[in-house]
Amino acid sequence: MANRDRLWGVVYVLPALALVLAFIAYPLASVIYHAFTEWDGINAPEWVGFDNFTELVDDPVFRTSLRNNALFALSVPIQVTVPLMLAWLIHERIPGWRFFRSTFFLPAVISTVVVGLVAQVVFRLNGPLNSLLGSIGLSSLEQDWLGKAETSIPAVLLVLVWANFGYNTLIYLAGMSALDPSLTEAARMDGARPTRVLFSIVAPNLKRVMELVLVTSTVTAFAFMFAYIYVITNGAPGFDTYVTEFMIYKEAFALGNSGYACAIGVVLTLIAASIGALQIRILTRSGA
Amino acid sequence: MRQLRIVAALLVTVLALFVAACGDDDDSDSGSSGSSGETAKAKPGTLDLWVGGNFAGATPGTPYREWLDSQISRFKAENKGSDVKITLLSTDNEQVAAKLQAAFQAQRAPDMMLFYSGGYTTPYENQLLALNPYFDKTPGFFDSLSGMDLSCQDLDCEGGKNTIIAVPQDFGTYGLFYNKAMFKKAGVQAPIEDWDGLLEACDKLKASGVTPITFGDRDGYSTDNWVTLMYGSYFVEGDVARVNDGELPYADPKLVQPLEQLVQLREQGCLNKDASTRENFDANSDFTSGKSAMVLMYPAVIPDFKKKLGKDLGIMPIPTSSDGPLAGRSVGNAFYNYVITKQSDNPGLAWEFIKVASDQTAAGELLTILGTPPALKGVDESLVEDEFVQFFVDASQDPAMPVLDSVIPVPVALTFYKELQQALSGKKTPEEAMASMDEQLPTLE
Repeated sequence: MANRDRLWGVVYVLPALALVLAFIAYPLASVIYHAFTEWDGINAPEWVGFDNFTELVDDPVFRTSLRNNALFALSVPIQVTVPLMLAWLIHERIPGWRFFRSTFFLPAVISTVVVGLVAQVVFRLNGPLNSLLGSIGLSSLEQDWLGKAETSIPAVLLVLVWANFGYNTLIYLAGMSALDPSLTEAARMDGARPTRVLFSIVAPNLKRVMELVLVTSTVTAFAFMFAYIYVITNGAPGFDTYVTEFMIYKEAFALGNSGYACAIGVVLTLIAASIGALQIRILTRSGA
Repeated sequence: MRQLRIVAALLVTVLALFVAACGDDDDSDSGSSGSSGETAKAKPGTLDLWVGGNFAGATPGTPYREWLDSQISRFKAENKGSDVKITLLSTDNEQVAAKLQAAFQAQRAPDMMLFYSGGYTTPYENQLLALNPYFDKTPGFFDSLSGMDLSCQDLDCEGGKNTIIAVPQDFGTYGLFYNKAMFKKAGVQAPIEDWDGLLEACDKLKASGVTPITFGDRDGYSTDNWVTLMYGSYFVEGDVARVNDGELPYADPKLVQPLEQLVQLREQGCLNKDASTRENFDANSDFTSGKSAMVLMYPAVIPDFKKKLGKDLGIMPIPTSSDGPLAGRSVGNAFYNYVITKQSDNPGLAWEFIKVASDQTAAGELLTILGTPPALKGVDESLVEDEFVQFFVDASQDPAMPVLDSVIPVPVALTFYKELQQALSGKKTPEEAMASMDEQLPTLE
């Protein structure tokens, strides 16, 4: 009977296994193989060993891209804490909470491309941001916000935070709805202020949720920035706003270096996976 | 019920394995007739035609679609039972590259394509059918076309002896469109003959409260369009090929000085302040909406510009910027060409379509519908309807040289755009940008 059950288990797992093999394992193996080749994406690849990886070490564009990913990762603490506080306010049903709940979530349901296009218009030299600055007497601050790295990176960072905080707020709200209300009630009866309730009762009980938000936000900063960069700056000025994903795209399809692009992909995957694993380990160790 | 579950589970498994097998990487050439180089008998069928560049905008109702539909309709009349299915590629070259890579890898390439010539076509050389046997069976066709070299292996047809991989469609170049009313108000005389004249006109236009020239240089395209024409004032015959062969470095003064002149234009306030962050087509909208007095563009914009500016629209060649032996002559080449892929099931029929789309009627319609000079020689010039089309027809008569970015391979061209963008935006000096090109060349080719 046990053998029969095991057989059925295998049969039921097969479809999912086949899909994983086809859409995850095979592409991953293919990328790893091609990372060790010189390949233009069309003709037969040529084995070059570790050449692509050694070239990466000296590639200034790769360093710029990684640096930018790291800069975008600086927004992670904001993406973890601000949504937590907003979710708490909504959870506490402050006046207008229904309105805020929908408003905060709105950016999360708008396509990244639309968000990017709107941002591109807002930050233009003749865009609404400069018009606003001019109208309040701050004309001296008017500039082409996407024209240099010092302003374009913070601009994209702002868009990233704005676009993602609604989604994170929703995740926290889901977590809060699962909390035992007696915990917060007891704290309040003991005279705890709302901020104390949030940071001493709610937050510790949402560690798992925070872990999820932390890891997804960090991975986003490293591996899901392509659409923002592609639409808002297209990597310009120069290579200033390149991120590794964008560089992969450019190397593969603009420069015909698919093998090199695969090598960048392997390195990016390792970095994102290592950071994610490290975060989970730290959070797990701290007793969550 | 249990048996039903087993069957369902097995079906899903088989389906998943089938999907996985479809993605298998295989470099073998499954083209039934393509690799042999033999001409196949044209049997009726439906051809897949992928179109790129400006033709990617050939949606119903546009002049591009009108032109394509007209050729398809004539092709169908001549080849009963046959048809052509059009697929519009992206206007983004990188997305086109991604799609073509995937298509060739998956053995799903179309029968034929109409896309950018020269360095944009040659990367796919191994996947394209050699057209020599077809030309051989079509006497006079090779000689009837101008600008064939960019459609051959090594960008040199050697009079038809070298491998021919494409058929040129048009002659492309750029004209400096200007706003006559703005020129009049500022006291600027057209045409502007030389660079000093351009700087002087720029000062007058600025004084009249107008942005003299608009650039959309986020991707380096505006700077590229300008410098590649300006090389005509600096280069001697054969220099474009020498740059492509690596004999003439990018850091040579012939390539640096034109860029310095453009940077001077920016520094003098002749360009829109956000030139380096606006997209190429933004320059057109700034021009047609009356924000600027000049923009450099190709013939395809004529209908739109005429519609928006009416009698205020003027056109002139880019002012000469130096006194090289070719100064004053046009710079241009076929921007588009037809190719037949090795994966085509019916290359003979594809050739029949190319012949129809390259004949006198098609060439005439290229002039009358799109305002673009054809690659076909000897087209009735009475078909030219206005001064703008005439401008480009005149330019096509005796081009001094091709535009550089049509000749150099795509990766080099895209790097070139990037370096130009950085130079114009002030991130690098022109000398640094061009020296950087030379440094990167070994990794790009």
